[in-house]
Amino acid sequence: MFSSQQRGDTSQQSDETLMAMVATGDRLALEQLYDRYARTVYGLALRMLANAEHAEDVVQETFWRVWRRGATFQAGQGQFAGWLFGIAHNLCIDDLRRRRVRPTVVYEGQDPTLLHELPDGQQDVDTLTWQNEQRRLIVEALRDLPHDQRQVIELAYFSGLSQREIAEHLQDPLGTVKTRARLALQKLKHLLQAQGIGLEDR
Amino acid sequence: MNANDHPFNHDLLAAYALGMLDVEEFRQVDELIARSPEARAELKSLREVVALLPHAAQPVEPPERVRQGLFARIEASQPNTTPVHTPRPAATAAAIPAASLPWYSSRRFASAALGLLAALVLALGGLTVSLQNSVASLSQTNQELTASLAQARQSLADTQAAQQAFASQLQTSQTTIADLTSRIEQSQRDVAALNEELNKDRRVFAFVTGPGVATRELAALNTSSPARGEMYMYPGNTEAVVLFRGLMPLQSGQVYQFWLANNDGKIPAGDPVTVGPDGLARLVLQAPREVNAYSQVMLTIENAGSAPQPTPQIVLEGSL
Repeated sequence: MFSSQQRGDTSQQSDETLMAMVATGDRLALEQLYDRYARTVYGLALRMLANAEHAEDVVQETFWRVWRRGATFQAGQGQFAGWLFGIAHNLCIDDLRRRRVRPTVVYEGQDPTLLHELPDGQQDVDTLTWQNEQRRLIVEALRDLPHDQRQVIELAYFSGLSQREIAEHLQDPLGTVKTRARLALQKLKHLLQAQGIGLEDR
Repeated sequence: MNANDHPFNHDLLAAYALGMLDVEEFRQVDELIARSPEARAELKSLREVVALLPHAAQPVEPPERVRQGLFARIEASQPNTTPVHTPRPAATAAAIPAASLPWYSSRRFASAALGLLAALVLALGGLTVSLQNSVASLSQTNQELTASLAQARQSLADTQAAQQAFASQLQTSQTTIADLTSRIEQSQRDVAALNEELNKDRRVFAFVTGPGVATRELAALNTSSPARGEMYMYPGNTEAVVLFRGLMPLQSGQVYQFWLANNDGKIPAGDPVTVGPDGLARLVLQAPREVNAYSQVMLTIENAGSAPQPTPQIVLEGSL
């Protein structure tokens, strides 16, 4: 694999620069991206699939596709993180639908534990990465959403339900579900911007 | 963005960004964003928000085997490398029914990889056989080309030898042609000389047989000599022809000379007489005046190259 010295050579590179290197077959660049995002991807997959083994497969498959499709990523058309998470999210949705099962709808009632879960208290707060701080702010923004809007986000994004399934699950009209989804995203955008989270940030 | 300014359904865009739509609605939004820059801009903004949602999940460090499996898979995908398989712990893999695993999960992926590997082995086997056939075919072709090359070289050597022989023959032929040409030219000269002699003979014949020709005999002073001569002339004409026979061959440095004489003296007439091996000779002379003005003629033996003077060695003599 790669030495620590070699890894250090790419640690300061931007995602887009690393992706350009990946497109040329640079495995060191891919490893750097893996170090940056594997935890988030694995956490998302665990959250959606509730299955560690499948989540591991999603992580591997996600970065495998990054490796194989590196040349198709176009810098400027969107942030790398959004592209990467889109791949992982789609893999999770595919897995859920392939198994024809639905995950446990974890965000029910008033205790959305996963969304509200903050970094482990055993972690050294001083060494929290920017990702962890970002996560804290995003979780807070989600928590600030009206319950019915947060519910739709949870069911749609993290549980992979379609709008009709959500409407059926919540016993709400379809149009209401769609409107809540739009309002939730708009509010999140405003909340995050208010908290200083630029949407262009990683 | 003001919703009243746009005809499209903003709720639909948000649902699209979250992946909530059915297939038909998904297609409708695809068409919308394809033709509407405003819709694309709004969708981009919504997606930026959605892209942050994964951060809401608790990040967890995946097991090291995930990284190892990923890069082993990458390594195995590279040309000229041996595929590396990183199996899961047996207990964990066995605990999950194969039917419940996603297509890319380890066990199914391993099966697919094995199938792919088997297909690859078969393909490589076929490729190897094909390459072996190609090598055999190329070897055969190479041997044929080598044989053809040897034949071509032999043919070239033969051609060069033949060319040398032809060159030698050509040289010989050119020499022969030059010799023949020389001979032809000599023959032509001989023919021309013979023709000239023949014409002289014809003129002599015409002269000696012409009407009004006068003949005078030349007799040898030595009665035992076989030499004789006849002189043909026309009265009042300066030209005359003298025919000789029975002339003996002369020693080297001597020639026969013909003379005209009258009361004024003797003058040589014509060039020295050339005698053939048969003892015959012919002289055509042009006298300074009409021949009948001279009273006597004679043929003497003179030294070649000296001033012609009548010597006591008179061979023939006659009166005109």
